[in-house]
Amino acid sequence: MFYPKVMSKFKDNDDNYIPISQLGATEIKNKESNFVFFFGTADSGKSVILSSMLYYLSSQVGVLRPKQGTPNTKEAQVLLSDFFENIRQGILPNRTTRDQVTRLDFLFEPNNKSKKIPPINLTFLETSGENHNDIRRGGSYHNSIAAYLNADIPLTFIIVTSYEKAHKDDTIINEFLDELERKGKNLKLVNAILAVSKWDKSGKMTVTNEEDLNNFINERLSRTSQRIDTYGLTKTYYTIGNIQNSNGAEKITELNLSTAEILSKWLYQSIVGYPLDYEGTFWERLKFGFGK
Amino acid sequence: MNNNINLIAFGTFGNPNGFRQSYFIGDSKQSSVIKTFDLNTNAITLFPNSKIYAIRKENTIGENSIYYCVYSFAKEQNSERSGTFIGTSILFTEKIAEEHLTLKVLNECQNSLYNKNVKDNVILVSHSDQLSITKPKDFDRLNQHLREVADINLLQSSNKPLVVYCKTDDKEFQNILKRSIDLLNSYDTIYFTKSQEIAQYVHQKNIFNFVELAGFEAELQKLAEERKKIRLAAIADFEQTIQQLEEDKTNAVNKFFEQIKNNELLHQENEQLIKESKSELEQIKQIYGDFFIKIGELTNQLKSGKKIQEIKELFIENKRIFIKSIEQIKKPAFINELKKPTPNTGLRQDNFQGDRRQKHNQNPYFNESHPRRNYRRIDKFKVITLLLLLLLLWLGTLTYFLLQKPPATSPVNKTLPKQQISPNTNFDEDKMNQQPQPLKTNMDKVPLNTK
Repeated sequence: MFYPKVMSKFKDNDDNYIPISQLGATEIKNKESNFVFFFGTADSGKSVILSSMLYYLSSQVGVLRPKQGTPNTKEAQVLLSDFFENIRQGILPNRTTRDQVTRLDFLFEPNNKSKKIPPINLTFLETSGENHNDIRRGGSYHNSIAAYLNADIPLTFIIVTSYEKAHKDDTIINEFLDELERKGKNLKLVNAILAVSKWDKSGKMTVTNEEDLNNFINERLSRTSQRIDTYGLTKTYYTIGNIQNSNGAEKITELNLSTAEILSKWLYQSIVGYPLDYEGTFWERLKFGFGK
Repeated sequence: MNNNINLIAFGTFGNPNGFRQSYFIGDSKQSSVIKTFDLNTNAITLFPNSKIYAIRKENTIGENSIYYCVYSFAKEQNSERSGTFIGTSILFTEKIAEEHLTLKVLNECQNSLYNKNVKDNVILVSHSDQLSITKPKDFDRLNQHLREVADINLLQSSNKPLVVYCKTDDKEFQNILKRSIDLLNSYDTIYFTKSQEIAQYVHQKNIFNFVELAGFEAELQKLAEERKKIRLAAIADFEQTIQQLEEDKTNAVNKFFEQIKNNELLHQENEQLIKESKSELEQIKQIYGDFFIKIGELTNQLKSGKKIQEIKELFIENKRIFIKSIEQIKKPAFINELKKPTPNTGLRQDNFQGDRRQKHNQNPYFNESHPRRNYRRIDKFKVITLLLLLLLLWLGTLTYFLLQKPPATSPVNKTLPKQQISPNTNFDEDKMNQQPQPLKTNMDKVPLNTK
């Protein structure tokens, strides 16, 4: 029996050879959009949140249309189809492959007809938790992900940690916030939210008292909590509904989109400045009133 | 030592590490630069009790590598996520081993990995560094009969995987694996699975190219045809080159032959010229010698007291004869220059000429047109000169007549009355003398005062 060799970069380069990183893949095309970047370690629930948000946005409050001039890749289209088909069948998304960013581009057109609630471009970045874990202890992101963080594009950050593993993620979330600051993102101005996923594991589907969530975050994510409060960032919890394990596979038995609604509305409002369910201006309300 | 053979183990380990891969045997120099062995779960995934074999090419840090991999379904700890697995890869650099041995070692490694690290389908560790494997007894044999991989372009990356649905647990699979090396020209990675579920998944997702055994054969056939096409094109290219070279050869030989023939003629002329010149050289010597002797004789005659004038005349006469004789002898003519023919192939000649024209003269006809323009100038000049001569002649003639007329006026005047006499005219000499009447028709030319 034997054990793996140490994979230190410095030990590997005994002959002073430094491999050149791939430069070609770092350019980001079609920057005219609002980019949504999920952060979270493996199995924290990023893909579940993304798929349920997309389902909520396109089934409850509006339409998600392909963005003209920015067609999704075939792989992105397959992923989307899987998201939408599987969620209704109670099937949870697969784990995400590392070292690749699947970019999902949309034009979100809300049902709300108020002029204050315009259609917006949304670009969701589907990444692997394995890659986020790489930044631990001064590590760096894979080129494909670093490219988005380095680019001058409007980014919204959804920081995901699970109810069960939150205490293990406190350090890495702080490291991620440090990484953002190193990359020149002013956290007081940036759109970011902390979402505690798998809240159903707490035995409850909702947070009845705001204090419960705050207490949880204070207790399990002490450093993150301090930072979030200092920067005035938002916190929320997330669940997709009842999940049961049958024959070694987890399945959603009852789909709950209430937290998807909260997060989706926050996302829209953080970009546009008006809530998605804005009742309309005085004249609009009058007009809509007559229209009825 | 197995310096160019590496054993890598990998797996999906859930929160927080996710997919990880670690080197177990061999030089881990490439570990930081090789691509991940992670499966693209959007395109291919493992199901319980299923396996995927893979063969992959990669060029990292200037080294060509071939990987043989096997993936087995295994769950992450505390998670029921799908798309998870544990696997082994044998990495060869520059040379590969016999497929049957590679496959045997790969399966042994994978069995060892699975048995030691997976229980009830769940991976027991949280990082690939924590995996344990027993080194297969045949692992070192891999190094014994290595062969170079021929006919694979490892630098060309297609990023397009192929999935083959076929049996992976019989002897035929060794053969398939061996033949699939060729297909790495078209695909970076080729997956093989006997699982129907996986095949359906891949087919449904339609991101990777999916084929059954017949399709695999067709892919090989396609590759063979493409190679054949390339080979035929190369042959045709060579044949065309030979044809062109034959034409060039004929041209060059003819040109050489003509040039040599011309040179031979010139050479004969030159020989004749040289002969003539040699004889003339003797004549020159003779003339000079004769003249020297003559001068000597004349000098002696002078010394003996002969008349200077007589001797000088004799000298002048001799000198005249000498000069005349010398002038009669031709100077040696210029030898005709022999031209050395240079062989040119058609292709080079075209380019060379084109380049020269471009380099020295943008208009290839410039030199030719210039003398033509000179000829035109000469023609114009001649015409103008002729016209001027004619004008001069005309003016000269006119002047001549004008100058000749005044002296002729008297007789004219004298004869004028005669001319004016007509049978109907009464001649009055007095009147005429008093009032001379010039001729109307000739008024400007005939002076009024005729007295």
